[in-house]
Amino acid sequence: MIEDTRSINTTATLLLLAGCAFVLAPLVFVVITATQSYGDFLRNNFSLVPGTHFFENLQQVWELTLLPRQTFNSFVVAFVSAFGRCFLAFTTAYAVVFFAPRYSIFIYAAVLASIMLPLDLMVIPAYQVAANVAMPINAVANLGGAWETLFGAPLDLQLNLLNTYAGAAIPLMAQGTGTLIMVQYFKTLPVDLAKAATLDGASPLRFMVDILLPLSKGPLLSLFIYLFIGGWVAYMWPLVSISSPDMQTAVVGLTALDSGMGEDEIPNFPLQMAGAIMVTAIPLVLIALTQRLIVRGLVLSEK
Amino acid sequence: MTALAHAAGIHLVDLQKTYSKTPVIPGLTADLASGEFTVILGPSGCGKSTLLNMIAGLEKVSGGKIMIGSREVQDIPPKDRGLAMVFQNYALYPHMSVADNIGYALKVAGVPKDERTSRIQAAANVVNLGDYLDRRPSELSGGQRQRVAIARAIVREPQVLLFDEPLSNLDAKLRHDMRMELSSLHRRIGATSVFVTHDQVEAMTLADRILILNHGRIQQFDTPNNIYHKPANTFVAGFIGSPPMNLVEAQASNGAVSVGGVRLAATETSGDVTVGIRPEHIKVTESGIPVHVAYREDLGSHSTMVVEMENGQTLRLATQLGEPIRGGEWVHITIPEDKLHFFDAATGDALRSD
Repeated sequence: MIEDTRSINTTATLLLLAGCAFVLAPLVFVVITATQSYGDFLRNNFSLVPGTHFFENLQQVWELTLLPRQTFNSFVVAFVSAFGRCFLAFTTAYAVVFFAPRYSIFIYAAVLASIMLPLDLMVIPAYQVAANVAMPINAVANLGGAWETLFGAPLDLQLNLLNTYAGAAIPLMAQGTGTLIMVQYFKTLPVDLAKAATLDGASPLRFMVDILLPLSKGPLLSLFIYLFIGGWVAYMWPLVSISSPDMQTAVVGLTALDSGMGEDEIPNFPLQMAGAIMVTAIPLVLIALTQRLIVRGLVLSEK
Repeated sequence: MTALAHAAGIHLVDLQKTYSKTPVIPGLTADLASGEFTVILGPSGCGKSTLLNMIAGLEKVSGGKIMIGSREVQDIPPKDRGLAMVFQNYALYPHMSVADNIGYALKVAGVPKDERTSRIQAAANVVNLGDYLDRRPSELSGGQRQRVAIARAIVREPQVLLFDEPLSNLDAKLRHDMRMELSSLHRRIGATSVFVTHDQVEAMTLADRILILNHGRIQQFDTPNNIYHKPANTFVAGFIGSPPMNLVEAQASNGAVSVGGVRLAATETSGDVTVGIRPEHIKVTESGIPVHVAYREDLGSHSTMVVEMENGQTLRLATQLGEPIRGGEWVHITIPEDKLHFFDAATGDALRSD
């Protein structure tokens, strides 16, 4: 805002406060409910009076549910998918910006397609492929019965990735936002940098590792955090691709917390809310720990 | 540092560069002597940076040969050509210390650590940065960064040093200081140097010889003195000198050359010619050709004026010290006959009587 008058400032502040209240109210509700015991909850229903059973509830979550194991699963899936996406973004952007191949237009098209067609839209084909990674190979080999004529039987390779970390994480990598971000960042670097490294005798790979990677620390780290959280809260794909509860991720596991009891019972909401807090805490801690690194990384990459 | 005793000459033989069928350099042949400081000078878009990048190996050659010493190098990778380059925007690695910047090439080449340290120190001392080795480039001034870039180039003990407009990012005063420094550096290390610029002052002061390029063709390749006093054509004549040389369409007949009826000088040629007169050679005198002062700029050490002859022909002239002449006044000028340059009116090439 260019104008700086008191009435505008006051209005803006009030609007922001109202927005904060709107956003934070459910969170307050979650935290308060998590502090009540199941007994209190059954007696009073939802209430805004904090109870004293928060740590008890957490202990219950820890000891009685699969959430700790599922939180670990989430960590693995989110880490692997975020790392993979950063790696792909970095290397693809490097190729596009520094080598400008003639087919870079096709890379852009693929990147855009992956953004416009998210995994959630392709759940069924993605599930089929995850159920048998070799399926596309089989399909190509058996085109027009080619394989059968040559070898007597159709090709039928099998590699099932359902219920594995790889099956949960790898399809999450197929999304190109990170590539666009890294392309934009690389374009801000001085072009002579690559020339200087070439004259210094550095191979393209060496330039990437020695020069480009250290310079990209800030953007890569921010991207990683962003994608890690994306992987952490992914719901649809883990729900579809993982069926065994002890391989499931925490966000999906949370919804299963109410199914432990009989049909007619009122769900243990305090327990669920405590679980929700536990599951949310990990990305929060991650941001808190790396916040300064991210900011410093962005400042260091001075032009 | 005597390591550059093995400086080598550069021979360009019918060197060509074509970008998607548009010839940028249609075929260029030149010999740059060993240890010589050559400045490639030209307006932007004349192909000078392309030429330098081809010598460096950063751009592919479309045709012809590049020889460094007796080696043909156009097909070998940049790092094996025995050359180093200093870039316009320094191109230092921002995340490395000065020492690591200087020593990166040695590290890549696998030079042992002890030797590396001593060579880095030696190169840093040459550019007076011995005390700054632990700093980051962001903690240095523009001039210091450029010196790091120079140290990074000389640490590899190259046969040839290439400079791509290295001074154009510096402010005027620093540019002057760096010019002196580069000049003395060149005298000390004696590498064959190729320096690309569009700044004629840099060219005149630094060069042993200046290669003037326009549209990818050599206009003149000569010493600064000859470039100034014996321009090969109207392009060179108009490009070098500030304010630039007056180029006047004139007619030569009956042993004299004249502009719109006003006799300028005696000549043996006849027909249409272009006459070149340097602004600083025109004198304001008691009598002579009457002119009207149309515009005047006082620069302290000298003044420049635009004057108009009675027939409408305008001329630029520079007077040594601020003479008491006001704009709008009528004065007389004299043009010394022996300082005139004659060019073919059609081709622009210099007409030489000698």
